[in-house]
Amino acid sequence: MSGSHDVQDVARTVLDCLRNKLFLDGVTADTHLIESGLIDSVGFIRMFVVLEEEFGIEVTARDLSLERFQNVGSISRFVIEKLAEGGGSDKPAEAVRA
Amino acid sequence: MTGAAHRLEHLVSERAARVPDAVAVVDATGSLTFSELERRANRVANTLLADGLRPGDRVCLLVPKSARAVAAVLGVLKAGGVCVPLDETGPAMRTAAVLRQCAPYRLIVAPECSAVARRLAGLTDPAWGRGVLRLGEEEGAPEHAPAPVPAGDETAYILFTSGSTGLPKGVVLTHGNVAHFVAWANARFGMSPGDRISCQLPLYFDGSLWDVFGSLTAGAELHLMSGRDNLLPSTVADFIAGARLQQWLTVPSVLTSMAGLDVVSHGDFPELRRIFWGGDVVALPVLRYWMTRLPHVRFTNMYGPTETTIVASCHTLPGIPAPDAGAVPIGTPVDGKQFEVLGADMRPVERGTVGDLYISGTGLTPAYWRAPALTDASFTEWPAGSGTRWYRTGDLARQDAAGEYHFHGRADRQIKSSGHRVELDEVAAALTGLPEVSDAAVIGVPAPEAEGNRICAAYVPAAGARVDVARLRTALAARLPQYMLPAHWRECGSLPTNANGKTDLPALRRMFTDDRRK
Repeated sequence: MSGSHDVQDVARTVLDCLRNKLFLDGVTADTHLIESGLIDSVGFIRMFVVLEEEFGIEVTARDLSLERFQNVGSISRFVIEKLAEGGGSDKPAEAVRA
Repeated sequence: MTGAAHRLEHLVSERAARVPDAVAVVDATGSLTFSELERRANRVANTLLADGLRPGDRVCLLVPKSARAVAAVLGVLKAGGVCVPLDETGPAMRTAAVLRQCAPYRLIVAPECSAVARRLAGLTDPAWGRGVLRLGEEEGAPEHAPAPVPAGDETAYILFTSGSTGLPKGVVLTHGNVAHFVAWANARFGMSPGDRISCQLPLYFDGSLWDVFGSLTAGAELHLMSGRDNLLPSTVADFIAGARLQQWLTVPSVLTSMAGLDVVSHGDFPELRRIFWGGDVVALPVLRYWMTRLPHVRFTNMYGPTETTIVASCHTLPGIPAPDAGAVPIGTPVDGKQFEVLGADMRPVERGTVGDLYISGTGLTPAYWRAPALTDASFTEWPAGSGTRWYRTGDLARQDAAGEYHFHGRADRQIKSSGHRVELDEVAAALTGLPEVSDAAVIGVPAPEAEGNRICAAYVPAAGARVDVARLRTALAARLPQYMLPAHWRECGSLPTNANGKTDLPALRRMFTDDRRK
């Protein structure tokens, strides 16, 4: 399933986004984003926007669980799954993007 | 000697005596009944009194939102103290600045915040206070109610908000002002014993006082939302459903993110009756999303600077607004308050014209904490000689033909970021205070992904300094909370100036908006 996307490449890009676009200071591949308190609710929304822009995917209601976004590894696995699905074409038409 | 009848702890105790076994507060670890809450609060109060606390002494709280925190707040009030809740996750240097300003008699610290407390002690002159009360130390104290607080000092809380001079400013909230609003709101919106009420906002936000004292004085259940409950749009939805909330006070950014990710279905939250929001403007498509899905809920926009105590005006939507309806009004003044829209000449503008919004009446703060010059500059007697005090909000407003008021932005450099008030000059002052920066200017640009603003900073490096944005941001994060940190940065040889030699803010704005289009 993840054959067409290199896990390490995705993980590197995710880490780069967390550091340089979300400015999560001191984040490493092993940081637990939630327990460390590095990210808040606004940070999560920005993270979704950054991931959507960077990877061309769409984050939807059914993707939302804290386990999925707890560290670089879990976020990368999520991104690869979304890429394999073809970029979140199940986006509900009713959602409101301000 | 009897205590003043309008004191908040007295109103809560009165209710607790009538419903001792009802659930008062619920957090992630469990719940407290009204009698348990009272006993815990009494132990905190008796400990503080035995330590020599006197009426009007400040007590700062470094306690994450929890049933223990609510008991500690009540305990401080029962002892006659003034509550100053602190943000335990906030930058230590800013929290230290708050401690220095209010010079507390005691700092109450939860065990999990002891490392933060040690950092604060290292940053502050010991003269700020006489010690720390570790939460838990009060366990052995007597649990009987202390003697009522004698009439006199009226201050219940000091809440700190962004200040344009570079230091946070403290707004004094009195028992009478909070009690007046809460009693009115409970009657107006229909709060009943046993109702389930959320507390989503942090305890250092004035909106949370409505949740806490609105529910506790009515015999309702207060359901505290933790930081974790707030993290994702879906976790907020789960909390509302799990707690079977009937009343939910929130902020626009939460409504927007939940609508953006479409986590609400038709008919969700069947027991929810009232949604309130404040602190910022909700975009019309977002409001339509919510109102379409939850036809059983009443939606009310609340407006009010902390200086006017929690809420100054409100507007309940009569129905789903049309897609092309204008922005939701901030409504009409709440009980005891008056609004005036004045021009630069301090005369009322014609109805329908935008002017400066002034507020008077019940709820006006008596003063900023130990800042008489700031108080004088922000409050004015009008008309001259009338003895009526008005707060100059800095908001621009207009009254429509139906008498409703509408918000038209700010007259100054204050913005909203994630629902928080931010004085851009406080950010600029912090940035200019860094050794590697010689000059800086900060503006707010509307955020693309939510309402509110993203903060943009332009800086001039000090002579010979090589500036790394990540390092600059880390240095700033030690001084300012997350929501005040710039999201966009530009290094300049010099700041753009206008013909008067002042920073050219429109040019700066273009610099950042042009950047974003690339």
